[in-house]
Amino acid sequence: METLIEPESFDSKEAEPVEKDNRSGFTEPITPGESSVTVLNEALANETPRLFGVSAHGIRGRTGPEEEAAIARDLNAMKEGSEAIGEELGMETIGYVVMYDGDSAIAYRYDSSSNPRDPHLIGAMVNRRMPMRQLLKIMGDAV
Amino acid sequence: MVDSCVSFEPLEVLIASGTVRGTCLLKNGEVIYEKFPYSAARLVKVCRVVEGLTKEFKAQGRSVDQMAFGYDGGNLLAVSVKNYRLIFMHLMSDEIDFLAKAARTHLEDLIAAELPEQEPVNDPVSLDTVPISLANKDRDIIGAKVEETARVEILTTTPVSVGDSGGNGLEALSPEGMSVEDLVGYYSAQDDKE
Repeated sequence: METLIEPESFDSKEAEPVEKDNRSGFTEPITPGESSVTVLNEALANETPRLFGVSAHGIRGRTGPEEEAAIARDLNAMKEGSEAIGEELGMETIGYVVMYDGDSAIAYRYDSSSNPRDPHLIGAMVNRRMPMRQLLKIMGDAV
Repeated sequence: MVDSCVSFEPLEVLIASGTVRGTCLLKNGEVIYEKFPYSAARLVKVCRVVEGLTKEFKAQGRSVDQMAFGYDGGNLLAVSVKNYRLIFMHLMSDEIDFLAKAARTHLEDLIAAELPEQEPVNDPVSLDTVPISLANKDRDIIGAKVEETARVEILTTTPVSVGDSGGNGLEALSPEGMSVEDLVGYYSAQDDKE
């Protein structure tokens, strides 16, 4: 993955209400009063996306190592599939992949602000079939 | 092999709308309709990847029925319902959810269209009323349907009750219920009995 796509190619230009849950984001460290379990339970109760930062150096999230391992497995499969499809269609620059798995959604999206030589991804899991466009918007805002 | 009950018109309408650049319909993993701006060989490979991803998750006891891929030159959306899968190639990622709903509705219609062939319904009245009952605003229509059915039954059974009632029966009989020849025959038989 050498180049990243421009945000305009898949960002929504219209302003729309977006669910934003910084507590389940991956940028904030876990505070002394909370644990990854409480963060996970809260995200599950509110049905808000759990976000993960993914790079060649590893995965970081706020909901514990088990979730990080789970999304790592899913992202690997999704990444492999999306690359195979992109290769066939002559579109090798991947922007995102979203899937509905039963009553939950899994997604990853390339962080267009990261270094193209060391691209970062945003991963997300949410325990409902959130509209895909909305999930992509949340992931874009989390960058 | 294309089923005669399968209508592709909604897919063609979506393509004509401009943003959808290609569509492919699979049944049991077999392509039964495709309008894709790529060669058939490439399309088959894409479908195989989608099938493979689905199987990968299914092997873990999971059910992936919708997936979307975004690229620099377009987007790919795959929606499955039962043994059907619809794949769209479209330009704007903002339309994922709309297209997914359209795809799901179309697939559900295809499955519903298959049902009469697989499970014949013996009662045509109930077959007519099933789709109407899905909408509350059509309850009056159902009432009218039932009433009409009852009226037909009365018309066909009236000749039997006329004789039992002891009257001449002419005022109770509908012209549609019995022809003049039938009436003449009926009363001739009554006269013979007497």
